[in-house]
Amino acid sequence: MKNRKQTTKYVLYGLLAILLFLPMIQRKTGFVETRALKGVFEPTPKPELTFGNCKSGSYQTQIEKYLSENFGFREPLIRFYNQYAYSFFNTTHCHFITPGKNGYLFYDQAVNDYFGTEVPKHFDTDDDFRDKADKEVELMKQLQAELHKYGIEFMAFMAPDKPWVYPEHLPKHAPRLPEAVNTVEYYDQKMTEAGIPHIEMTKWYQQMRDTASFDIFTKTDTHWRYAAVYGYDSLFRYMNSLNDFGIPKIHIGAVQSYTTDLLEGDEETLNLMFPIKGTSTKYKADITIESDSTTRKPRVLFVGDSFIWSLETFLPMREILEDVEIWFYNSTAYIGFNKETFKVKEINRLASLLNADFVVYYAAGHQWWQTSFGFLEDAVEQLSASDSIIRLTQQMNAIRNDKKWNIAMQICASDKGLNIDEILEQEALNVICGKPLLKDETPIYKDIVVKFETEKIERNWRQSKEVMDIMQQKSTEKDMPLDSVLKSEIQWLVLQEIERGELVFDQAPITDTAAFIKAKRKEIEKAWRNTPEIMDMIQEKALQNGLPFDTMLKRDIDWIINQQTETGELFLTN
Amino acid sequence: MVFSSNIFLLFFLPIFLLAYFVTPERFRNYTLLLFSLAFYAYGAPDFLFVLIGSCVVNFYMVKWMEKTSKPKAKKLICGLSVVLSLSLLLYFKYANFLVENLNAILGFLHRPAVGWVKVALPIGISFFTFQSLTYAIDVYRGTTVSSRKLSDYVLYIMMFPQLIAGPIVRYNSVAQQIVSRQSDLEDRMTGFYRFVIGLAKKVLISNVLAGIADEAFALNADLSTAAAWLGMLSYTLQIYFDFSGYSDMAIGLGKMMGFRFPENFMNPYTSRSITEFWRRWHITLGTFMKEYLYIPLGGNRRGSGRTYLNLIIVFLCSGFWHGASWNFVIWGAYHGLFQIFERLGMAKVLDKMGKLPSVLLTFLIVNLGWVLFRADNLSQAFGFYKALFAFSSGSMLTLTPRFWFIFALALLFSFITLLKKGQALQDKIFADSYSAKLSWIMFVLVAVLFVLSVGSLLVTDFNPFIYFRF
Repeated sequence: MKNRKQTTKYVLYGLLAILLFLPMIQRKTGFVETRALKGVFEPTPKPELTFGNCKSGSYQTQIEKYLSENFGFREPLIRFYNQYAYSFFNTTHCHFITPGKNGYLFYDQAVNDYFGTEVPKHFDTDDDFRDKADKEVELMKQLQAELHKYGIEFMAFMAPDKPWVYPEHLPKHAPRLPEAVNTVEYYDQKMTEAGIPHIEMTKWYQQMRDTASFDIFTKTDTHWRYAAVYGYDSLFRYMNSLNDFGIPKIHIGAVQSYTTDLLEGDEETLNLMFPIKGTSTKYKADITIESDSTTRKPRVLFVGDSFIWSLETFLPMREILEDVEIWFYNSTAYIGFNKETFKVKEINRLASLLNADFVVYYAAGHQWWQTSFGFLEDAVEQLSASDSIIRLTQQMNAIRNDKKWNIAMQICASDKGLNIDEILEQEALNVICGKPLLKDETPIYKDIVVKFETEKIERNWRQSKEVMDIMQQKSTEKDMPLDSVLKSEIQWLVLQEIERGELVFDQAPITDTAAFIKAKRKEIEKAWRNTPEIMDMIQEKALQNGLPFDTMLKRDIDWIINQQTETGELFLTN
Repeated sequence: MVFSSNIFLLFFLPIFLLAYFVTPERFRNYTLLLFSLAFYAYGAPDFLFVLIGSCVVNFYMVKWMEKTSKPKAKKLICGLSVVLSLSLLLYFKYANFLVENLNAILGFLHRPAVGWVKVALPIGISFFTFQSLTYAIDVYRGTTVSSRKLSDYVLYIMMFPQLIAGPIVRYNSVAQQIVSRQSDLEDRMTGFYRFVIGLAKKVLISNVLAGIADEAFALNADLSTAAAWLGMLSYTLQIYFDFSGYSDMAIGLGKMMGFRFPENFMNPYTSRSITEFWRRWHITLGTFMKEYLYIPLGGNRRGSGRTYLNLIIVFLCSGFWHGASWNFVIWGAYHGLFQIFERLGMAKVLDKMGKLPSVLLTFLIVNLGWVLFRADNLSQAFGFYKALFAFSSGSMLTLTPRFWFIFALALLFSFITLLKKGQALQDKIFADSYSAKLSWIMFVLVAVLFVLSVGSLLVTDFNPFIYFRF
């Protein structure tokens, strides 16, 4: 008996030591592979220890945060606690997600909006909200009139909110006060009265939820997913009806449902140990886009919230739209199909507005109290510019929309170290004043364009943490250096752009490949001869191989040209 | 650094334990001292030398006092040592308060205010001042001999498990353990279990209740009466699980090294009177106040009038010790008055009421007292009292299922020892030794609590946003 107790003591003592030291061992060795945490969070950099920051205590605060984020088994510990909080108390530690009944997840502002508690958080009285909404609708009216002057349509789109479609799955809450303001209804009514074209999707989805062959919202996603396809179909039809633009038609095939073990949407961000029981079904359908000689693809500027992202997930945007800009919360601008990213306040907003065929203000119901995130006031102000500025901007847009000209301007801006808008403005002035054009001085041969595009994409990607994380993951999976993965991915993308005709170029004045190679060889040789380090290296190699210096140099240049040709970096045919 | 932080749990503690147990026994005090200095320096590098300096001066003063044979000289040196310790406390903890009040009076008299640069409060000063006082006074009284080595004395004052928030360990109760102590496997394990139970009390219970208490005190007078009562109860439970949790952690850490620190809490909310409450709540402070203030003032040996005066003095000092603010002074007076009322006859009434009603009434008195303790100032406290008794509707609190569960659990643990079975269960959990079967149960329980506590501390810093795709 005593022996058994003693053995138990030793075993437990050992286990205790393991419990205490395991995280440190894992941190050093990473001997167990753990599932990475999902969601957006800013990692804390390792602080530098100095006398000053130690004395002030800032080092201690920083290092504590840093170590908290960098110790062994952090991920499973967080998942374990999250699972405990979710399973026992139906709570999460993810910003903005409110778990409902039966495994449903909701966006917390949408829940507050449903129960009528969101507006009181931001306005002293309901009348304050109504006053602000009235002013916004008045601004919409002004914006609509201003845009009409240039043949541009303005419309609003009210995406549906999950709590209004599936209220039975909401968490327990005090009932909605009958007098609570309904933001969507209020805006809907006011926009109707003001003659602002708009679509309110909630009512429609409420009606179809029991008859549709798919869930309007999947259980574990606070945003709409597959159901968005029908919303966009309605949106584009409605846009078409405004001015018979001829937008290509969307044909939606039979809905297919499927399940997957992969967590999707917001469930992933909860960082639980186990998937939510009875995870929702996913849907897909064959979507075809009908276009003919009578159809025309519009340029659309969307301003709004995250509900817009399902557009690119479920629809072939390039087949429907000529060009797209998304001003996310009127703060970050995603320009073009490749989503070049800028701050909205830093771009030429007047040019973007004038370049669109349609301007769509787009938000889910619970966001309408925020009105347009400042977009409407700004847009009206932008459009009040003088006639000469408007003319100049329109000319800039004309240049931008001419693919070759646009590429020439981008290369020119890059060569001169100027902002693209500055070059466009200069070129537009050249056109208006009849001066020589910059495009005529800027050759856009294939190798120049490809090199420029490749460098541009690389620059953008390297600035994006999300993209670099994906590249890092691919590099680990393929066991290739990060730079090689990056290079091959960019090459693939550039080839796609060429195939789709998005990247255009002129025929190079070289018809003879041999002459082209000769010219290229001269170019490399000149560059190398001006670089002493390379010269020293070749000298050393020549000595090692017992070859004359010039022979070694020639060999290395040939090798480089062969490599560039093989990897597609150098195009020998135009 | 606090015990309930990831840096302590995942880095400092394992490294310290490893270093401590691989050090040969006779050098372990140095390891402990080194880590204690690092622990203090991490949190308050500016004050480390103030603390060490005061330790050195006090150590040699007491040595000098011990060697002196003349009683008057002994008394004088002891007085000097006490004045030195108290003046540090007075300067660092109370100077701001005193100047603020002086300036308020000067302002009232239309006189210019006294210029003053605010003094920062060194962490743990209230605790180490009291410990240095017990050392000087115990040696003066002859209840113990002075420490032979300076390092042992500094260790007594600065030992990291009890440096920041107690328990207030009297020198004579640990003097022998500093010189020589034993800890077997059982001590290390039960010590660790005690530590984790304390950690869980703080992180899993107190922190959850704190959310509601903070919300209630922020809304204050705007609260509905029901919400105000709930907020007050939440704070009552929060402070108990917070403070007793910290004491459990300190006692557990000490036990792992072979120290036997005194108990600081003994189910205080099951008390049947305020007098009993103070025998169960922050016991080491109560003992200190009794031994080093109440009895020297004459205790209850000089008639009832003097006894009441002594009680009020002791509780005013006790309140003031908790913080330099009028709230704490009034809170101390509030408890002192109830002690006097009990001596005037309330104790008999409570006794006649029966166990449960007297426990509930005492609990109510304590609860109402905590409002003064928690409020930022007197006007907030009065606003909260107004909400408690206005019987009005107003703002409600954000009450989640987790809150209700933890609240119920906290109430259960606070009162469970009123039942015999509950007391037996507590005795079993906090036993010095376990059967083989109970050892396994305790280990699993402690492991789960440890992982949950660390997880809880981690998620506090990790609240990702959902728009990761964009």
